[in-house]
Amino acid sequence: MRTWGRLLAWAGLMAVLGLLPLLVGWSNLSDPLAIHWGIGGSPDNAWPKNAAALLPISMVAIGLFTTSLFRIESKPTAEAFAMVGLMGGLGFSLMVSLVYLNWDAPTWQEAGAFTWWQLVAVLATGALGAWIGYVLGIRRYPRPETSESVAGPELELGDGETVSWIGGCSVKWPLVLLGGLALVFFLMPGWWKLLGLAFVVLGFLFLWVYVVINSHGLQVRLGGGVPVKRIPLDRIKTVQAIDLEPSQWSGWGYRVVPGGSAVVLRRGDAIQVNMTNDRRFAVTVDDAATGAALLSGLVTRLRSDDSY
Amino acid sequence: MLIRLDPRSDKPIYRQISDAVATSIEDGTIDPGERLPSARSLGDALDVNMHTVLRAYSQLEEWGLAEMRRGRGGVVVSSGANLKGMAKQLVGQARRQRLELGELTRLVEEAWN
Repeated sequence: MRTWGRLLAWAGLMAVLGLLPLLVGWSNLSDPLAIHWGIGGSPDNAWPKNAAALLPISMVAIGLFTTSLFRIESKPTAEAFAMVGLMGGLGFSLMVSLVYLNWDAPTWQEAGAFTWWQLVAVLATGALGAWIGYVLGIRRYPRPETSESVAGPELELGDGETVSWIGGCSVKWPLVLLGGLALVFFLMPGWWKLLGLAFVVLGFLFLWVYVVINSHGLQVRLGGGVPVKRIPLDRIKTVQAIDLEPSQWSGWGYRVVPGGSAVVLRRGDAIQVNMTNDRRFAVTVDDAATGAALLSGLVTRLRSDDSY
Repeated sequence: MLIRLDPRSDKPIYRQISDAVATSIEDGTIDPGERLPSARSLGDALDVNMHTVLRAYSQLEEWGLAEMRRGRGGVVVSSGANLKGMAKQLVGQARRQRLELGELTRLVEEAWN
């Protein structure tokens, strides 16, 4: 329990923050109060006052459960703090809007209209909450540094021999996920169809990744041969084969995280390159050990050539 | 798939490529049904001419390991001679027939000569 104490305290704080607007406005609110607004902005549903108190609490609880408690992990992550911050921020600003619109309304039907700027303010507060949560979390629970100068095994290279490794991996999930989204958008009118097309292209890109390692360094191409990354040998410090966990790179696809980037098509075998500028890059490939060993060998050969 | 090319070897480059690809097919790095990289991209990766790669691929076709399909490039069609797997089968069969290891190796030697 002690390990999770800080995250729970952060969640508790966010829940209390979400309750504050309701407590402040309690005597000025009608019972029941308007809780939901229709597309036109006028209230279309009401809840008893004390049930409204459950809203911020349950939002924070959802944030807590989706990121941490359902996952078997030994420690909380910065993402969990960010998620709780996001839900807490959304909950707080929703409650502020709720109290503001219901303030002194004789009945819930006479509550004020929900406007676009309020929606923007709610989303912005959510983003702010997520950011604060992330900053709090990353300080206490920095990302596991599997990398630094832990170099993997090296492949022996003969003099004058050119050795290349061609690898990659392919997956099916973009077909299902993005194809489904594309279908939804194709059913929509007008310009939304273009968004559908964009999803088809994105889905196609992430069907497979093709990686070449040779004396020029590392090259990564996505589906259709679209080049996305090229790292010359002289910018590489160490290389290792890792067991990539998508949550450590914040998900699937082309990920940019603090201190690095990654092409993530699936969980598991991947090559991680630690660069001389202290950034890292990872790409999921089958038989990562062979590719990583070759890249290590090539980097070592380049360095020993330089030292003559 | 790891491809080592030694320009000082007596073996021509195309043959070094086809040998390396064949090894990858035989040890299961590339499975039957998988596509080979296009001749152009493999040529780029190896710093050799595309036609050298095409020549290597037609060698693989001759060996019955891959097939060149119009518009689709090379496709691996056979897992090749998986000698390790075949040896295991052979040993299993020999054990069931209660053959001694010496008798089995004698059989192999006979076949070899």
